[in-house]
Amino acid sequence: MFERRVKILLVMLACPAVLASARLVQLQWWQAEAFAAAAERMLSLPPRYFPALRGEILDRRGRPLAFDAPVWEVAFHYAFMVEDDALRRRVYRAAGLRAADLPSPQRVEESWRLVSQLTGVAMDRLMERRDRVVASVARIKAAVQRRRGVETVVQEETMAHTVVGGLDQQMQVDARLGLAGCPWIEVRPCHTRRYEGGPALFHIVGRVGEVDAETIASDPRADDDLACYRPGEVRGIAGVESAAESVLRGRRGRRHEDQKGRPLSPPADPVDGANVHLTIDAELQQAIYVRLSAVLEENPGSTGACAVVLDLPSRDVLAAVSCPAVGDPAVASPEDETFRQPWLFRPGLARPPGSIVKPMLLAAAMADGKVNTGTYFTCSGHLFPDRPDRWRCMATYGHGPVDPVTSLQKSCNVFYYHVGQLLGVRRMRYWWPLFGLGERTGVGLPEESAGRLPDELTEGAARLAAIGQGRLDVTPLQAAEMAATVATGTHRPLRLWHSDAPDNRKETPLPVPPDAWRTVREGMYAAVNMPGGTAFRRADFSRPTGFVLLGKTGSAEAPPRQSAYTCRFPDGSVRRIVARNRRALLDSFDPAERPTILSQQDADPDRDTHAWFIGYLAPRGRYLEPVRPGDGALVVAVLLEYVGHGGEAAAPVAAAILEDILTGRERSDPVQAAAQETPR
Amino acid sequence: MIGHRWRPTHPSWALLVPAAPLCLAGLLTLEAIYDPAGTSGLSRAVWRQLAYLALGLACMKGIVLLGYQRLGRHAYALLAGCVLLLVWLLPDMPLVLERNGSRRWIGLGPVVIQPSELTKVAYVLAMAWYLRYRRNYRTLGGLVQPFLITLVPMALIKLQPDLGTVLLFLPVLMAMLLAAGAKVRHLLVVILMGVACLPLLWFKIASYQRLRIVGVVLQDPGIRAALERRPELWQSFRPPGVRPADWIAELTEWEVRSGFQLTHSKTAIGSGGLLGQGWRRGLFVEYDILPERQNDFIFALVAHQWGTWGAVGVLLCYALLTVAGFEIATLTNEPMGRLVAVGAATMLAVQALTNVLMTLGLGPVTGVTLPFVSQGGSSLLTSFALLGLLVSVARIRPITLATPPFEFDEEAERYQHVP
Repeated sequence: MFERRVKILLVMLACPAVLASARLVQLQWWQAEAFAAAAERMLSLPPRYFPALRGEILDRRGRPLAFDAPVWEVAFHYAFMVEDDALRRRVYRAAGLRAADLPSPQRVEESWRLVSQLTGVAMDRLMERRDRVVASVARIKAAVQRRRGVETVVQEETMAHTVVGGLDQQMQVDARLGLAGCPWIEVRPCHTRRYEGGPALFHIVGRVGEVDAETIASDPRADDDLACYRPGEVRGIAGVESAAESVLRGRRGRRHEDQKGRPLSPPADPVDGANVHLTIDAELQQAIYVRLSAVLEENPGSTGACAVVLDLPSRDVLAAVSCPAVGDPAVASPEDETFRQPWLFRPGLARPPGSIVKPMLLAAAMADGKVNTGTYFTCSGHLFPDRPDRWRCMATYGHGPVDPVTSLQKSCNVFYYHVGQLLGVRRMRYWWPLFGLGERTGVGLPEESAGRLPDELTEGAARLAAIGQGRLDVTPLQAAEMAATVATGTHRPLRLWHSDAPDNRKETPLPVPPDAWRTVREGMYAAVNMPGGTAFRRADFSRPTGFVLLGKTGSAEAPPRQSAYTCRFPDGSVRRIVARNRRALLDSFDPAERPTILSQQDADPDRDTHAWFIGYLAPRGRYLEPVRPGDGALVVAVLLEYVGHGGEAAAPVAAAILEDILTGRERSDPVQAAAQETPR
Repeated sequence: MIGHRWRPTHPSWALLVPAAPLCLAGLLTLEAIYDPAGTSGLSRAVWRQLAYLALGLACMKGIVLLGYQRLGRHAYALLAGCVLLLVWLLPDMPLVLERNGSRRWIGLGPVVIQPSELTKVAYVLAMAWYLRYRRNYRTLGGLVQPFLITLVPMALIKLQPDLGTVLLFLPVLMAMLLAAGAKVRHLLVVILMGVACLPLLWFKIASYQRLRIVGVVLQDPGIRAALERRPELWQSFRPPGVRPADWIAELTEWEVRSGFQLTHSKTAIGSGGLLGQGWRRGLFVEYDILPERQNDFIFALVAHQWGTWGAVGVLLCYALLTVAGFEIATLTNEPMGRLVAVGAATMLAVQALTNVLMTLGLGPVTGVTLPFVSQGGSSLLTSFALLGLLVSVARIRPITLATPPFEFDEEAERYQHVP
């Protein structure tokens, strides 16, 4: 019986064994070829990517302002970040080294200290970095294991990971020599973004920053694995770096091979990003920055200053200076940071324009037939005879009878109250965009505002808008564009940067008759060059040139620099707090302790006005005609915040900037400069 | 030969002759994996394996010298010791090593013990000791106790979790009961009860284990395609807590998800062909694309390198070993010896079959090693200990005048009313 049962057992065990043999035959005879092909496919490795260099940003003369500079980084093999002998042997074998020469744990520990010494990075920072890498690799490994149901070696485990970056030439040589005996540490080249040009170009050039999860999630090129964003990469986050991101950013290279080194897809070489040429002249930008810094030093109550210079008739932005800028030690003290806010790009920031909108409005009113050269309004210092305290003009006893030219020369508010009433906000909303107000100027910077246009259709709103107050805000870039439109009679978007793409900005003539333009230009000429002009004797050049300056001043009433807020706190107490604005006040408290604002008072009643000046250089003797190519004409717009009268404060700065440019032209090309200055 | 005499006809030879090529195949494969270029001498892994081999032979010699009968007297204590070690693994105790989310190992410095492996040997001894002079297991009620004894280590090992090792115990118990003369109809009832309990087990195991079991069916692309066409059917199997999209991915991306291991192992075997790629040659030797190839999936590499002939040769070696074990059982008259021999031989055979069937895609993927071939000290020691028990049984052939044990005469029983 026992023997029989043992035999039964044997048969029961033999059945699966026979089954296994049959399966072997099936796999190895019948399907051998299919499996041999499948085995080759299993050698495929994930593709490797190679970074492309980001394009350079150059100024109009080809001086590099932002570029990828070579640096070096120290990378540790993962196997030596964790204690894993099998992985370490694997790394050594891959490097062609003998596994018997594997270092002792003490030696690896020492090498960390050596890296710390050579790079000057503290040991605990290194350990922190190591722990982060180890944790992230463990996460990847766990995810792969969860998916496959078996522990496998992931690619990240066989790689070297960066622990210190940004080594310069000397440091990398030292590191290479010092770490020569440690084959588990690599000193490898990479690159970093460098900026030349200093604070004067801080806002324009912008900055790059690491891509965040949100950017990756909303990446329109997510399907293109050579162009999409990957964690750890940089992208432009401000200025031209951001505006020209698609141009500057190259395409990464790719190698997709199997473990034998055979290509699985055609290799793609990295394509470096294209260079971007700014229309900015870095030297001019710097010179203007220095000038504006001097103005700020003289006026401690001013929160900032900016200036824009355009080339005519091309509308290339030669300079767009915002002062102060981040990274300028003269203004970088903490109290200045909150007061002057150096991170703001002021040429793109909308502010009340004041009287600088008057030329544009006059042209519009004349084109609409509301005003002609014979029109005059009498200014008695105020609009309504019975209300001398309201709707006032700058002149205490009035300008008397004012015709269109005089209205610009003396900047008569009463004249423009009438013009505003005649035009009305509805008609103004037709004209403003034709001069570029309420729209971006085309420089393409993310920091640029489109400004603000009033939408209230009352007569009062029209009168206020006509003198550039009320709910009308204009950026200095728009102000310069407006002056350029007056100078040429046409409107064209501005240009700050270009790559190789053709210039397809259209020039749009405005529906304004030539006579109207001449009247406006005459008025702007008189404002600077005739006695009684708001900028007369304020904007003279130190010596005769072939140009005359036409301009318009503006002294815009600005919001208070700070307000006093009566606040009720969550604990019931009520206090008065002085702050720049509501946002700044609320941000200075934790969400739990945020007060509710009960009322707001002006804490800055004696503030000065914003000083504006817009103007352009026209050839002497032909200034009533539109500016032509080759005239060498320039537009300038200056805004000095809380400095006072436009004629007294801003006009001299504008004239000095223009004189700097003319002097520079003479120096760089005397023949052409002389030719331009010969009166035609 | 292990004893005092070197007789070539001694049945121990039938055990050692098949074990030697198995060990050799393991060593050669390990050398090929760890030093594919063949540059330096023997690799560290091979030296380690050789050391374990020596230790295994010493362990076998020790068991032979002690004799299974003397060991049997302490079988319960041994099993109790093993159970204690298994219990030690459960809570967060010192020295326990956790790998891949399972707690199977106790580390004592450089020595790592796997208590579930020791339990296998102790279990065979204890079960033989328990059954040797009884006859109550010929009733249905008498079967309860042996099953209870088996369930204790099984439950503890299940908690590690190590489903593969758990499933080894039941076939061994069945084989020992069958050999001891338990009534076939009783055993069939038990098997039926077990089958009835299977659905309960299905919900007790982890979701990845379920996928491994289902993988045996899913490996057929036709079945996968059919299920993809009827996603609502596939979703009805979705375990709670798994997102529908993930569950669909388990089907559409089966080959790189739960089927990753099986697909690679089958490819390694299939690409070996009839004659094999040759020692140290072939993609699966040169490149590490089959995880656990040195351990649970070493049979795939044997078949990859030496083809059908090599793989069938390995199967034949196990067959010889099992036949020799059963032969030893029939040659002895000593009741405990018979049961120990049947238990040990079945343990080795079932373990080898489980591993080979899993590698070939005929069974679920479980963490069972291939005896004598896989890398690892505990597995090698256990295999040699089982071999030692067999040799020990073969050595002692008491001359007895009593009737051979477990020879029940069912007809006589019916008249004598013996239970």
